[in-house]
Amino acid sequence: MSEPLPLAPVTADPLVVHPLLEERRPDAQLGEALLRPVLTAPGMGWWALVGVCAALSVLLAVAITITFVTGVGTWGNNIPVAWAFGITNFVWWIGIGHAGTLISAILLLFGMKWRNSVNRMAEAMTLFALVCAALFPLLHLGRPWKFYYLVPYPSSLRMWPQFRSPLTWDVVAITTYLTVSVLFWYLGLLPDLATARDTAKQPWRRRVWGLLSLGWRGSARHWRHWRTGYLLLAGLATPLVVSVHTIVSFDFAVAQLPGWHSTVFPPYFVAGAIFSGLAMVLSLLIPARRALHLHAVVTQAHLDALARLLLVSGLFVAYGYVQEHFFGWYSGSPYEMHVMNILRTGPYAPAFWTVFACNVLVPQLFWSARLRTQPVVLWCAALLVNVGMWLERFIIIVSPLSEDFLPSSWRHYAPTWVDLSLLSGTVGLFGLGFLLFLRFLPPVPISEVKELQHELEASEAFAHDVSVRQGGAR
Amino acid sequence: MPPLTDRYSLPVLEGAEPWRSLEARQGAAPAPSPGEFPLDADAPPRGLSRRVLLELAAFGTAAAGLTGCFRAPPEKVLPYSRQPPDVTPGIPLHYATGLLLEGYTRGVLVRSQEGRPTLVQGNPSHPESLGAAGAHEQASLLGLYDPHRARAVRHRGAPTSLSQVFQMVRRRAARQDGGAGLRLLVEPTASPLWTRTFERILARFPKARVVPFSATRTGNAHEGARLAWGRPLRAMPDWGSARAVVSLDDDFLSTLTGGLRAPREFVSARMPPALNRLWVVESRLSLTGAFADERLRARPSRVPWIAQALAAELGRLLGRDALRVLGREALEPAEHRWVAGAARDLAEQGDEAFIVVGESQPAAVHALAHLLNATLHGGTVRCVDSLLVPAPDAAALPALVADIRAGVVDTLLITAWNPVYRAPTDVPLGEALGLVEDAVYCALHDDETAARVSWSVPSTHPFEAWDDGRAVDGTATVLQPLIAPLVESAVPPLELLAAFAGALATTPYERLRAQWREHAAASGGFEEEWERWLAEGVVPGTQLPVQQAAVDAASVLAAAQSLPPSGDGLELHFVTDVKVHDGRYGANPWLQELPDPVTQLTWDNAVWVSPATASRLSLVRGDRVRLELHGRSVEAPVLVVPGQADDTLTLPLGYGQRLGSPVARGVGFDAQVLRFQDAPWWASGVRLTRVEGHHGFALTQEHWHMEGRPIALQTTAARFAAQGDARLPALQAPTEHLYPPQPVPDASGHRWGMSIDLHRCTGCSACVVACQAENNIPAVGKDQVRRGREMHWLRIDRYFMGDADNPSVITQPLMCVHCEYAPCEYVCPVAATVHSDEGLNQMVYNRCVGTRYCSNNCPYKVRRFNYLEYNRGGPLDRMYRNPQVTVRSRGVMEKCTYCVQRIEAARITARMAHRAIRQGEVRTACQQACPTEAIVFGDLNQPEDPVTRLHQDPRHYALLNHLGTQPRTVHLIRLKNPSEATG
Repeated sequence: MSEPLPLAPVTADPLVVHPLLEERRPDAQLGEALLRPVLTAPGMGWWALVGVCAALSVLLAVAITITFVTGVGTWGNNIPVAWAFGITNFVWWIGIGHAGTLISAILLLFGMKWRNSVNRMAEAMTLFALVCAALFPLLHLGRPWKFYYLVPYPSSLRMWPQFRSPLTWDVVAITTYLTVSVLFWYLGLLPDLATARDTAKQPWRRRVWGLLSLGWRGSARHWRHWRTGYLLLAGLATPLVVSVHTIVSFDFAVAQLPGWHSTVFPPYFVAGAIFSGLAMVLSLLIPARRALHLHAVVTQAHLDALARLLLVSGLFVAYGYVQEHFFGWYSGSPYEMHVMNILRTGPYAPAFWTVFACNVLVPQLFWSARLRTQPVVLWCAALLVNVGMWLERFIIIVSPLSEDFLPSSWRHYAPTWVDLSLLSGTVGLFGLGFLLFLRFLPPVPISEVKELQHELEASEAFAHDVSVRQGGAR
Repeated sequence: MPPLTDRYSLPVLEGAEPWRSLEARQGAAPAPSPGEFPLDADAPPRGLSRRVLLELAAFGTAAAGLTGCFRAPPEKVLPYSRQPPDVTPGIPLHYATGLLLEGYTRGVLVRSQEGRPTLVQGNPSHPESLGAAGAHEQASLLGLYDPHRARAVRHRGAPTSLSQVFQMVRRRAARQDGGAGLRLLVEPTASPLWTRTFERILARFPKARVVPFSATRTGNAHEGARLAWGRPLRAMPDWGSARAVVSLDDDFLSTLTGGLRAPREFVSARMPPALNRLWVVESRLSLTGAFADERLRARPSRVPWIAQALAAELGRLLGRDALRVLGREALEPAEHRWVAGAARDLAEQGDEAFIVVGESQPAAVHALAHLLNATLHGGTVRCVDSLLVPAPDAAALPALVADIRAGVVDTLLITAWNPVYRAPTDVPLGEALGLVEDAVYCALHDDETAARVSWSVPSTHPFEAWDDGRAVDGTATVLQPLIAPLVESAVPPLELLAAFAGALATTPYERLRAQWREHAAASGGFEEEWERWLAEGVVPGTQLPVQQAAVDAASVLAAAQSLPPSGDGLELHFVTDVKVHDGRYGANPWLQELPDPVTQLTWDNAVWVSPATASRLSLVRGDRVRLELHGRSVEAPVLVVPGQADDTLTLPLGYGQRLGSPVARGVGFDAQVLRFQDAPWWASGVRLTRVEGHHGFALTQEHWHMEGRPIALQTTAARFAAQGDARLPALQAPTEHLYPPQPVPDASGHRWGMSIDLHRCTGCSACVVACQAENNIPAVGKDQVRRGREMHWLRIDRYFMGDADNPSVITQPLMCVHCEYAPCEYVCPVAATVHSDEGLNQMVYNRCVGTRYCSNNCPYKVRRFNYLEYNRGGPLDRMYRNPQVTVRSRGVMEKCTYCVQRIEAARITARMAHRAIRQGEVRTACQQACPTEAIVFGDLNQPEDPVTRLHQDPRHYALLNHLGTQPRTVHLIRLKNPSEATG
């Protein structure tokens, strides 16, 4: 019998280049490390960012007040461009939300282990993005105080919404999505809230987290129910990733405007949504990883996986662009062709080619394995994709409206300061929400990381056993 | 909110004397037998009638200290104790009256809602209206309620009272020097009452002078008539029989300069299959030029030479050697082709052809046209006497200024609108006015003239005073007031003159009646006649006899030969603005916001340049230039307009007012600065320099090209007759649908529909204003128009086709086409836009939340959105609104309703009479206003309805038919009749 072989390296699987966890620690230590951002006082950097985001949120409040008091005429919209920044922002934010659900639900169903370290942040991002998104349908109404006309409720007027309108479908899709996302996120938080409750020193924190954790004690029964429920919700959330943006795309595809009226829109929008959401996850994760010293649990493996997804969804989006222009040409309709022409060569050409560079060219960087794990490159690329996706939404919405059937009504669009304030204000609100989340809730799912550690150890032990046994046989 | 009468002491509750409404007349009111009752016995016995109000107003002005007492104190207004027989709250009454444009009257019917005038329509009985109304007549309603009207009587800037003014006037009128120091500065008018007043003043004060002043009637036509006939006649072409018309810079299709009758008769004589042919030579693209079959663009100074060449060519064709002495200047090939073609057409059509000339052309050209017309028509020309008194004379104003400077004038009464602003730049009227001891100016606004005179008096609006007037053909109309003056101290301008005519003691009403009593004397029964005149809006038997006048060929030819040669280099070209005229409508937001039919420009004027000239001078739209002429200069923005003659800078008059209404103030630039008395219409020697800056225009249509799409269709009559139009079958074909077909009503039901004949549409924009007035559509201001938020439900699209230098132009009125399968309906999430069972696409304002999805999905982009609260306004703004149409608030979508309120009104009337709605009973506002009957509305369920026949006309097509919207409004293709020689 030979000497026992040394412990096999963590990266036993030749396909896994980077480890999912950089180091192994006892559970208690790991839990404490992951709770540290919540339990320690924030640094100057956090305060500075909160200051900036709060200022932008105040700007948002001002812009909203002006919009409500004076009217939606404070925006740059006109006839024919009756939708512009408001709907662009709405579609953009909704799209961003998709990555959270994708990571937390779809990857869960597919048993992707790497999701465990990042899903909490992605879900939180989804929620704040949805809040920002939900503002715009309300704000862009001419009479926002009558928004409830869109909701199907038994009214004494005996009036229902008009169900043929995609906007009515939007209301249903978005409220469903918001509800499921909140439930999913909260359910995932429960064990960690209990951990936080148990670790917290101050009584008030214990009380708040105690209330929020709904009496979680970590019994086997709790865990069994929780896992079932979590999986079920994941199953419920998964079709929503596809359905919500499909329905958002119906707002355009169902209309008969050249440039909008296209069957390619639903998959094209879903791909774009996931693409932009992944970019936003990267934009947030990379700085958070560095600031909160999460290198141990958010490793290069995560960056690599996200970069690959970004590349794949980017290719989907690029295919969408090709299809859109191909169908514009293939339709033979002068109206469709005109809209595609003004995108490429007309007044919206600068925006279009920026979109092309950001969304098609930039993701091609990540064919390189080395660049996929370079946080700085990834972060810059993610920001560019965010910009590109916003511009994409903008030109999809505005350029067909600007130049449709009758040239007499053609007119272009220019935003006002209120439009710009609303966009930057929601970015601020989003950032503020995310910063507060980092401060008050465990940003990395503690229980799931612990579980991951156990699973990894178990599989390593198994691999060790196998290799020992194979060695013995030899 | 207190009742209306508490807020405004108006004769709201008094109702109207029964004989003033058409309804009452039809409703068999017993006519009082003459002499049985004293005068006015049929007026309501107590309270203030409109008539008594005005009498008292006049009395009050005369009797010092009584001003202001004629208004009922608001707290004493009482409800009807006995309802006047005519007034049913909610049921509008219509009163016939008239409005003056350039001295002549156009008959209108004013709809009055509980005493408030709310709409101006054409008077079908009036020969110059025929039921139509132009943009200016309709928009004058807004002038009545203008919150910026002058309110205070001022003496050298300080507030004073009317009694002071009248004391001064009486003092001046009482002197015995024969009126050496008395001058009246008035606009030429055809009004019998004014004419009589001038006569009486001149009889009492033989040394006084009545000075005519008009910025747009510079005396050319008048002088031309004198040259041709030796007396002031006015040519009356027979438009109804026109087979070939040559227009020498005459914009006769514009309702402003051409009236309403000429376009109607000309277009009716043009209907297929027998089209007439219109030849136009002009310097800038006008509506008439856009309508022309053969248009020639020429610099203004070139037009007289083209007229001469035409005369020479015509002389050659007709064998009149006398004419061949003309036409000495060489013609360019394009000019030559046009002249040859026009001459041949004229010669062929003979007495069914004629030449018309615009006011801007020199007198010799007018005279020459008369001569040519006489040649064509067998020696004479159809004419009537010119009624304008005093006769237009450009030299009168400089003479007045000279008199003032010589210290001769001590009393000057000004009723002409703002002469200081409009005076030629080298006639320093403004400075001279300061030298007149008592210069009285009576006007609606505190404008440039009011600032210069010693006495300024607020004037009444034409709807607030008694007056009379005559149409171009002589038909007289008694102008009756619709409402008591909204401005307390307002005085009818004629009142200032009346004191000098020795008639201060009587009221304007009495004077008017006295004047007309003489006319009735012949037929007897004055009271009945008077009531009939008021009810019908015309005085029968006042039409002028048409004369056949021979032309003095020798003097005409002599004058034509002495015309100066055409100039070189850049030329300035002044034109009357189609919206604000010479500026007098500048205070009217409806007209300011009305897109210029050619340039689609609102709230501005601009230097029009041709594309070629613009590229030569490297100018683009919005560049600012300084124009200098003889030491005067003005800075102005440039607008590149296709169809403009090269090297011609067209400057629309009427903008850049410095004082007056804040609506007009600072809008555009003042072209008058470059207008000298010897060159009122064009001038050469201008120096153009680029200056810094860029001007943002508020254009309602920025893209002028149809992009090859079949939108506003036009073809030639010959081609259409031979083979139809290849684009039409696809636009007439039925379309398929996933949705079930719309239910078709049975024979008793209605399917409302409309047709718009592009062949009839001249683009005059009367329909736009009609729609605005009827449907409470706000004017939103320049800034909002620039942002693309104008609210007009009905717009007139204008497309250029072909060569940018001399394009073919087509205008296309477009409003909601009421699709059977409306794209707006299925995308509205709240069912705020729905289909009625009669086919109307309806807006439910209460339900609308303002997602604007409907507008996005409307392929015609005819929906309008209240981006802001556009209907905020003072109490006066509330008064002119149509109470039968909802005033929309902010955040609500709106669009053309096919005047659903009129459909419902007709339905109620019909139902009460137990009958069906009659054919033609419902007329939309746009249809009613249209001078050329291009818009027809009716019931497609009635096979005999004109609209049904037009929907089956081979020329009809559905706009964007391939989308399957199945519009209820169809357009009819326009036909052109180019000459074979040139086209």
